[in-house]
Amino acid sequence: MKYLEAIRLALGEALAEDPRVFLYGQDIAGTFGGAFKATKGLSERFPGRVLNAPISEDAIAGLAIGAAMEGARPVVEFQFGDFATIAFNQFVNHAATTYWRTGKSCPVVARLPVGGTPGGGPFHCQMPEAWLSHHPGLVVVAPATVADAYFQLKDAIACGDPVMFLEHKYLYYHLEADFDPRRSEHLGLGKAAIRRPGADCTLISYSGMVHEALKAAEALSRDHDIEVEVIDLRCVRPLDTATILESVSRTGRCVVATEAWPFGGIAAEVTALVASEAFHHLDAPPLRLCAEDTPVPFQPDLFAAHHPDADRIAALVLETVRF
Amino acid sequence: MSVTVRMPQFGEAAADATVVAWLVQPGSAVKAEQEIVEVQTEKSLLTVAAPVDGILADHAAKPGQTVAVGDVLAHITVPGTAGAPAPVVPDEVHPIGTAPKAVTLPKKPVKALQPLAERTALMGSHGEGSFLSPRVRAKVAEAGLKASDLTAIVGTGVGGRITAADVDKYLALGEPMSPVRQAVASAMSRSWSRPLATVAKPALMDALLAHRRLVEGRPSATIYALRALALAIAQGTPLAAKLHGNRLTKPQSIDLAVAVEIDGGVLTPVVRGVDKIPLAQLTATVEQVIERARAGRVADSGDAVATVSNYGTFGLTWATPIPLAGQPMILGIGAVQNVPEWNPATKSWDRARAAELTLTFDHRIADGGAAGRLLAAVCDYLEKPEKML
Repeated sequence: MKYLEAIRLALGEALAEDPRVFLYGQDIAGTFGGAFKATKGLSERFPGRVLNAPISEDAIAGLAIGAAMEGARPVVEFQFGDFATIAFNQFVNHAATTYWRTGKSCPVVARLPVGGTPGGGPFHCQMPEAWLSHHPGLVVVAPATVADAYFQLKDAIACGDPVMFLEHKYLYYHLEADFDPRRSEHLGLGKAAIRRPGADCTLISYSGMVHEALKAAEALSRDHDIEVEVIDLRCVRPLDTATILESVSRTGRCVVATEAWPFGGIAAEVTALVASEAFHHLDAPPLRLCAEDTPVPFQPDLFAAHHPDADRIAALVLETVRF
Repeated sequence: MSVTVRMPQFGEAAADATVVAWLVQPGSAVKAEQEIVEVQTEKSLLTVAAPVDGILADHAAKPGQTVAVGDVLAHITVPGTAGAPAPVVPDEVHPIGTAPKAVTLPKKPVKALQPLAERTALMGSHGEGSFLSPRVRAKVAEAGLKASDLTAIVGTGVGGRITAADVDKYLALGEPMSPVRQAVASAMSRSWSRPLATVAKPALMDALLAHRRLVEGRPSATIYALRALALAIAQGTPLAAKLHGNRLTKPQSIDLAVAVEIDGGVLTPVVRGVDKIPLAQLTATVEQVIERARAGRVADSGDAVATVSNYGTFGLTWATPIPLAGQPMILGIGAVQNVPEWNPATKSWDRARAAELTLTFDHRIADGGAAGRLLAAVCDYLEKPEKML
């Protein structure tokens, strides 16, 4: 099953299991089935519950938040996570604060396709997790596996808080796995996962970058006898600090790799956590690897230079281990 | 060998693309990066390039046919590689026809001992002291290791640095010391962090040795020394003080510790208010205190003004014992020896008995003059024991 198919499966099951669930987004109903075809076939199976929206992310989010406050379980789809900026006010001023202001929960899920693909350029490749996570009240998840795409989406829909669900565009079609929802491990919404155990350095990542981290870990094991422990955060807000600190206390070293920008990002948050809470377990300064601090370039070679990859992750881990 | 050309992901949302026209026919040679087929997505007309040099073997899709991202477009035969190992280009889906490079890493450290760019400066690993990571520091502190211990550890980290594993290995060596030995080692190490100096003066012991026969319980030299030191301190001395940063506190009571050897270590039980205890009672009091200490019921000694160590009982004539960390000084008594004493009346040498007294003190609190005057006062009491009943 592909990552995208797992999302479609989760959406279909949520619609079937819970009459409060409805999907709302641009071009998601009918034969088009959404920009990435995540909802293809669902409007036929669930008439009246998969609804096309006007081209206004602000209106989409606002309607969904109102419906959620009235007891529905809306799942909105944005064509690109970049356009969450247009609904920023709805998310951070309304969805994030509803429970704190009124005591009423706001169980809305926003599905945001994020992350870089070559040629995508500055408006279709951004990672919004840093600014969404900054606001207390929003849950921000970023699944990296087919199983997580399924389970975390179902958990997000069941969650009483607003959830920003970050789907990686590159993984949609390129990530395929043997997945059986009845047999695969269900880790819960906010728990980090150790994807590969290791004793020499903790390598923390999430979303698409997890796969580059795993490649780097294999190369380091093969060529340098360095065993890297790869942590997939899965959820960046709230952060599973216990798993991070426990791992770093064993390895004494920490590298955080994300494809987001460096300034004020999740990588900065995690390295700050490690530096302040695990200082006496460290053998080297915690380091981070992020995208270059410029808008995402269109041109594929520039994009490759902008985007962290396994080579660069491995080189930084080497630097840390040899510190 | 054959390399598969697949439909790439064209950025953004496209899940598939339609073949428009083939630019290279089967059987023709192609170069890597050469455009071989035109395809149409929902948004634009694009081309797919050959990933390697070779001969285009086939067209897996006809013009007009829609091919999903990742599905086969064509095959390229790479000549002269029959039976060759793994293909150069991984057989998987890649965006815009560009295969990611295989992960290759430098085999040797590129900059083994360089600081990480503008980050933490790297301290030298030899000579001016080794860099210890926070984890190693924490381990060293937890184990109570001193700088002198670290010099004995062979570092196996970068540039000879000591790693956490090196510390673990070092700590696993040999047998653990007894708890008493560990306590003494810790107390001595803490004390040794101060500037200590020693003054010495012989005391004639004939009068004392004659005097003790007349006193109840026949006090030992240690008892006389305790009493003499207490009375000398009571006369006033700047050494009877405790240093707290740059401030001094004066003791409320002249409490003195006495060093007692036990199996594998030393105990220093405290006798309170020694200046207030008559000599005839002091032996019993001290014995009681020592007995309680041996039974393990008294542990305190840090708050005494000084300790008395009668190393003369080991036959030693002179030594420089270390005062306990919380104490400013320690008085030592050497073994009694026969010494020549000039008799001015007969203009000849007489035989006398004398013991060397040493006072090792915290030089931050007072200087040699004050220490010498205190030791002279002690000496005076010991030589005139009737003054200290």
